[in-house]
Amino acid sequence: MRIGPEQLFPIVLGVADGTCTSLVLASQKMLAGTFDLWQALRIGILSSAAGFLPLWVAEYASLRNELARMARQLNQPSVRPLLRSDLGLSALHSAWFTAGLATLSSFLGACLPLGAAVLYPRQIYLPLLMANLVLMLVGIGLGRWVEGRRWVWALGLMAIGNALALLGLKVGIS
Amino acid sequence: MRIRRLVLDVDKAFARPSLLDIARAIEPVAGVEGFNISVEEVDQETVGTLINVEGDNIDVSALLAAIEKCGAAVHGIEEIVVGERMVEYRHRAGK
Repeated sequence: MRIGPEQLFPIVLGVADGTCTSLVLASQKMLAGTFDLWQALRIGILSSAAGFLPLWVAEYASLRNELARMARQLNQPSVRPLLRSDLGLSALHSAWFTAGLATLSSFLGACLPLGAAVLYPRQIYLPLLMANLVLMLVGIGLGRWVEGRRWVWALGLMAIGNALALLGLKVGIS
Repeated sequence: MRIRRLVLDVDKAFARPSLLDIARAIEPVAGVEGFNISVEEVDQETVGTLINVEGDNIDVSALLAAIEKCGAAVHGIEEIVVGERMVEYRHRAGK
């Protein structure tokens, strides 16, 4: 499958989710300056893999619902003939592809702040700065895509990221 | 039975499959030598098409299965021509 404009949603969702989850899970360790590569890998993999199956289920359910509506419009007695058709197979492939793309994007989104924390453990605010940079770029991209106010989107996402970092700091999971 | 022409009433959803997808599905069916897919009506979410298929000894079950497999719905056979010669439809006298 090729990456087109319709794949923007899983990419944006994945990057923003990966960045925010890594902040929730790791902000306390990041600020303490005691963060190693193994912890970064565990958090990166955990934050991205956790979303894979729920996203696959959500995507497949949405596509299957679309096929069910199609079957009703075509006066078919059930959705089964469409599920057995190429459209059913395409829905299945598309759900795997979307969930995989979101998971990969989530891992990459988590990599930047976590990588900064591993490489420069003494620069305790660098991971937060990196996360803000990622969220700002995602926000600007989204604002451009929806033809909205780019900086409002960027600042909104950055505010969410910082709020989650604060939450992670208070809760102290890692 | 030597089927030479079939006219099928086929509906599809607005977005998918495309007419090209349906054409790709029909082309390899045994006995098909040529066909025409015409859009007859466009509804809010569906597109009604009429598919004229010509050939020699057309494999009808394979043709219907191919169309269904690509995601379109065959609602009925509107016309069928069978035999050694192509016989065209004639209006009833006085009509």
